[in-house]
Amino acid sequence: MIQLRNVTKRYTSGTRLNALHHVNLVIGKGELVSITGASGAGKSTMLRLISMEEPPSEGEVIVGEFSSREITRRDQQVLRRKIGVVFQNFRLWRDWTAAENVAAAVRVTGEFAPRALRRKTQDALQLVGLAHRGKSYPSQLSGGEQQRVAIARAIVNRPFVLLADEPTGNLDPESGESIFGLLREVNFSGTSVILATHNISMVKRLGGRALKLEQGRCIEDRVTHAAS
Amino acid sequence: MPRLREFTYFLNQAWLQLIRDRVLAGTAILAKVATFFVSALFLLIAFNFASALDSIRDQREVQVFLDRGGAEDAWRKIGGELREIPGVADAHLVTPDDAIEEFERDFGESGLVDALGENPLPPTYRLSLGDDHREGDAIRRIASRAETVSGVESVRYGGPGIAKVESRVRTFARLNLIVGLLAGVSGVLIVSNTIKLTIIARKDLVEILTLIGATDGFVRRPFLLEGIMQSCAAAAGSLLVLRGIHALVSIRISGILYFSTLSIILFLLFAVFLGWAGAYMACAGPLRGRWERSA
Repeated sequence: MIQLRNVTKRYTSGTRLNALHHVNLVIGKGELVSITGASGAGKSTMLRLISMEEPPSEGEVIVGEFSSREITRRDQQVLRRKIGVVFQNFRLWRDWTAAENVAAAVRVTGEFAPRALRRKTQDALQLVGLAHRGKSYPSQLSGGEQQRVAIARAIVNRPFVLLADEPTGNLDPESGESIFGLLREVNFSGTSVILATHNISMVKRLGGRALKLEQGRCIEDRVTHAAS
Repeated sequence: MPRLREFTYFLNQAWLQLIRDRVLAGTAILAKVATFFVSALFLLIAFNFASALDSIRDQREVQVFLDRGGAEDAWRKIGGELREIPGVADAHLVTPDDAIEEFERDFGESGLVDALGENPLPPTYRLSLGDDHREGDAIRRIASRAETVSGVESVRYGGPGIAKVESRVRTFARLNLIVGLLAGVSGVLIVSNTIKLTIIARKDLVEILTLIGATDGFVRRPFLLEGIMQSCAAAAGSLLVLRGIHALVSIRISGILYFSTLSIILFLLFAVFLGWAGAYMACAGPLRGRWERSA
């Protein structure tokens, strides 16, 4: 479903930096994959390549039916409607309520009928336990709640994969734990989850497949079992 | 219905954007009011000049003075020849008796012939001209032809003065076109830069929408509608200001025309186009994603 074939990503700003170096990876349907590594190891870069936000410098990224070698701008937009993305800083639009932020992801698919919009939005908020906070603005929500809204937005269109880039980076441990729990629930429902995080202890408790990156190279790829 | 829902949503978003950034939008609208005002003012002046020129043209006629010595039969024969000149719609004979009567009526005098001992006014033909023959060159041609008719003493048509006015009006119309174009270009630039500032203020929103798979059109539409709204508000404002000034000037100078309803609609449509074009230009850069930048 997701393949990285000998992928290298190079950034050039003054000096050349290999953010990813000849990475090969296959992620199957419904997998829960945690990517760990120090800052600058290439975790976020890998997620950006999978979401086709950036092209690889070498190699090929294949996500579903889309290849980085042939993808058009329109294909990128179609792909992004089929995947969910969650960020460390939530990236909710401040002028919209929680429900409006979630509804935006439905609208981009071309759905504008009020009843369908309301139902999908409410279902997604219900899944993340925030059905009662739909009318709140991001500034009125805690960090954990904002991240839950971001997850609701990411899953509202039932994506085949959810990419989460340091989703607990800005949260206290308790909120972080609940977000990990939520990601596990999303994965149980059949959506693949690819998670980039520093939080190794949480990854151990989460289980699934664990990748470790170091200086752009994948140095570990193993399956762990969820600690109870 | 789905299209209408979509349009209503984007219109609502554009309106909310306008309200949230009211200081920026207000400043932009004021700047555009000034630009549109200059454009509308020049148009109105040109419009009035053109209208005045038309009315001068409508009243234009060629006066053909005949030799005094002839008899009425000879005058009528000359009239027949004058009517055959291309561009002459009609030739109306004013006999010396008619002319003196007209003169006395216009100037409130009487008994001129008795005082002078004879009627000094010659028989005259007034030539009315066809619609396509009221321009300077056409009149000159008709006057020259009339002068060659036997029994004609002289021809008068007020030519050089009117030709000069016509030439000045034409120059003014060209100048007006240039000023109008410059005002149009500056209008597009003002809209474009304002929308650029709005997009910068909403950079996060543009990125969020792009990341969740919004098409370029989806991201762009509220900004296009905002540009159109700003432009329309500015155009309407400038027309209102101009209307006020027109009303004030009309107290002192009568007969100054204002735009017709059709002209106002066309002006507003022009503003819609400028708003759209400016906003479209502004969106082009920010919509380029990381992929395009790093590819």
